[in-house]
Amino acid sequence: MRYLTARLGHLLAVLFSVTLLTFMLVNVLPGDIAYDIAGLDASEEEVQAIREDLGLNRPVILRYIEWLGGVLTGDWGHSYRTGEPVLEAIMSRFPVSLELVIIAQIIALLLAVPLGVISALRNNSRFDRVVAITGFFCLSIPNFLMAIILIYIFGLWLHWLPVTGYEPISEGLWDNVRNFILPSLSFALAEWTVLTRVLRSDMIGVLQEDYISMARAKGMPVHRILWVHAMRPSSFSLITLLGLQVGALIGGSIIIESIFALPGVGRLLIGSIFARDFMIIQGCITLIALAYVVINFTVDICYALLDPRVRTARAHG
Amino acid sequence: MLKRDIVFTHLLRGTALVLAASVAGIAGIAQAGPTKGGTLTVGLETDVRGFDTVKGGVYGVSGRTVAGALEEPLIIYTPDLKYAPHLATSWTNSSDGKTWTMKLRQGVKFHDGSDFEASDVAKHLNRILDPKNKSRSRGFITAIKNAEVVDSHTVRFNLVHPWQGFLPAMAGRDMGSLIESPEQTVAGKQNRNPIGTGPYIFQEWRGGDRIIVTKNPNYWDKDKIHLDKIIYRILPDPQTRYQSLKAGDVDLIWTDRGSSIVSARKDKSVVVYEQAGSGGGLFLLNASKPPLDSEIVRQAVRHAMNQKAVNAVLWKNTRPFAEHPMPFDCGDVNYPHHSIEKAKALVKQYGKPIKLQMIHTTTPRGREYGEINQQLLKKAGMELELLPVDQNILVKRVFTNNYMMSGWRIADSVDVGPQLFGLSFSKSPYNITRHKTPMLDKLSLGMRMAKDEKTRKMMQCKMAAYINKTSNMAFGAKSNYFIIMQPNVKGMRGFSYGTPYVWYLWKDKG
Repeated sequence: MRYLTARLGHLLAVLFSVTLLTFMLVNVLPGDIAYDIAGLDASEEEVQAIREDLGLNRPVILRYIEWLGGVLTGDWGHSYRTGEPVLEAIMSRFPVSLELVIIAQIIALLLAVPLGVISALRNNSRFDRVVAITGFFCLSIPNFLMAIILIYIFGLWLHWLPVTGYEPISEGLWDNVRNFILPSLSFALAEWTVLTRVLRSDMIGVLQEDYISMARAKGMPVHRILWVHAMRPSSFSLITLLGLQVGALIGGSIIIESIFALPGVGRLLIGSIFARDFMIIQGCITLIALAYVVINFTVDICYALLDPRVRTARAHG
Repeated sequence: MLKRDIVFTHLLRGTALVLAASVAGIAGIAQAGPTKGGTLTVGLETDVRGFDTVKGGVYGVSGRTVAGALEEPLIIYTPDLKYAPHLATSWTNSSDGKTWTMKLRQGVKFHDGSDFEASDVAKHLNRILDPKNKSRSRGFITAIKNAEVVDSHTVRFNLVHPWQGFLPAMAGRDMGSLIESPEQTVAGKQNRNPIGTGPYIFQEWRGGDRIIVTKNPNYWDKDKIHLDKIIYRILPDPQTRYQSLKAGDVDLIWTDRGSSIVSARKDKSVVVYEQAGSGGGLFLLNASKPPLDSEIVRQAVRHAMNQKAVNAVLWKNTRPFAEHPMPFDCGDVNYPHHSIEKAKALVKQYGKPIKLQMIHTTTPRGREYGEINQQLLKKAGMELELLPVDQNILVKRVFTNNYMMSGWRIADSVDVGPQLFGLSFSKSPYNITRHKTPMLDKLSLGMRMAKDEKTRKMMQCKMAAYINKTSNMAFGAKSNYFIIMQPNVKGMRGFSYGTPYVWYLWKDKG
């Protein structure tokens, strides 16, 4: 319990620092949303009236305190441009980004785990080398380029999958999932390589442990040794990496969401940055920071569950 | 008929109903009659900011393309840009030109079932005109003093002065001309849940993704509407938008990207529909910043600039060369054509080194525009420093007089008079080149107060000629609009203000 409380305290401090820093940074960015809202045909007086209306003439720190107070009471403010409540705008897009990340990670894990395990078992075999070469090839292609290649093959050439768009699950499961296949693959085809290499490396070490040799000597089937006895101790680095990747994907889905026109948080964020819509930017960054923090918190708990030594050591140390 | 009128009519007839293939396709299927039902998916460039005239700012092409399905103006332009009745059935102007009276159509209902009446029009206009509401649409119609109800279906507009811009303003597709539901507006819901009298009813808005509208079963002119549903999808990236069309994810897209247009013209699997607009590029030379306070220097810059080269590089020749921003012919307007020799002679006549600075946007198009001008001015013996800035910083610098030269634009409008007036009249806050002369004031006021359309057009031509001569602005490529669509989309009947009338389309099966 002490361990959890300590972790939670750290995470709240991180959240506070990130939101404060973002608020300050966003406010020193060059540009003024009042001119964007007013447009090319407005007079300087109209622009000043808009600044006054939006409260942009007040000190930044005052605005931050107000914003923080609002967030704590569930009011994340309103978009300067559309008047849409920030929380509503973000929460309507968050499921899209989350689904993208989850499907991408599922695909990456479906590739990485079997390939990593078999590569470890057949260390330095032809199979291992083919997996390594294929993996490095995929890793060397930036995800935006991978996206374009996938669009060309599966969208424009074969016409198997839509190249843009999003349908909510309420419109049908397949309609929903088919829109995520290409975007998720764009991520997953790079992600699986790292996961495979980490799992392979850890598992090679575990397979050389005495208790594994003992299990082999006792005639235990290979699949049982691998999946029951070797998998758990080999998955520490994998889980760490997975946590970091999920956080990074939520924040880093800007390009993929833009290419595939997915209405997720990444696209909302980039649009808001171009428009200097500070409240939306602040809301998106807060959500991304929150996602990072929660995922890392979950990873920490997973450590403790996987290895009791972790919680015991932390609790006593 | 005057030559300019002939050209005007020609332009307004959808000037270039365009690529032979597309025209042939449209004509062929038009004979078969419209297909009823189906869903049209339209790819838009941006999301809509909102539909409330006060909260929603002003519409761009995307906003107008959606709003036109939901809300309607009192009068409309026909495809040959004559005025035709719509929510108003007739209109008259008083003998002093200061009052317009409009009779409204009976039996029209808003989407919530309430009757459309004169009080709705008056409330809508008066709300915009009230300075306290700070509506951005007000600036376009300040010549209207107020709107008053005569009877349930007659409305009177009292003007500040005779104004020939009244009918163009009413026939537009902006927030001022599209009549919204006063009840929904008072309830504070119009911005995100718009209600109008239009052929389609607002159904759903998934922010950043799509807006869905469905056919209005009680529409007063339902025979002209064929589709069951229109889905407007927000696809900001132009390449993504074009690829979505190619992959069949959307039926129709709007684009101004030269590369996509050139590619689509060669592609037989899609149809390109093109129409000339008005307005277009504008280049500002700040007459209050030395050495641009000298007319000689401004003329030197104008002669060094090369609109044809800019059109070729930036727009891939998809926009036409323009000597002025009006959608009609003016004859000779003193346009200073590209001539390095003339520019060099003017530089020599000035007798001092000329060092200038231009601000431009950080977009590829902005950078290219700056670099082309830099090279051209260098050839003429002038030094041009380029300063890339964000779009909104550029706007701020222009308004706060913190610039020497900058790109700008004249928004498309059948009547660009209000914009010309704002840019030219010495007391206008929109006189952003700070070029203030008695002659320009005289021309501006003469144009604004003109008692008939012919005089107004003539005065606009004179203003353009004076601007070209004194060179505080350089007119650039004229707006040209492109719709790229699937071959089975039919019924395209043109644009107004760059807005395609997608709500009149239909889709052939297969």
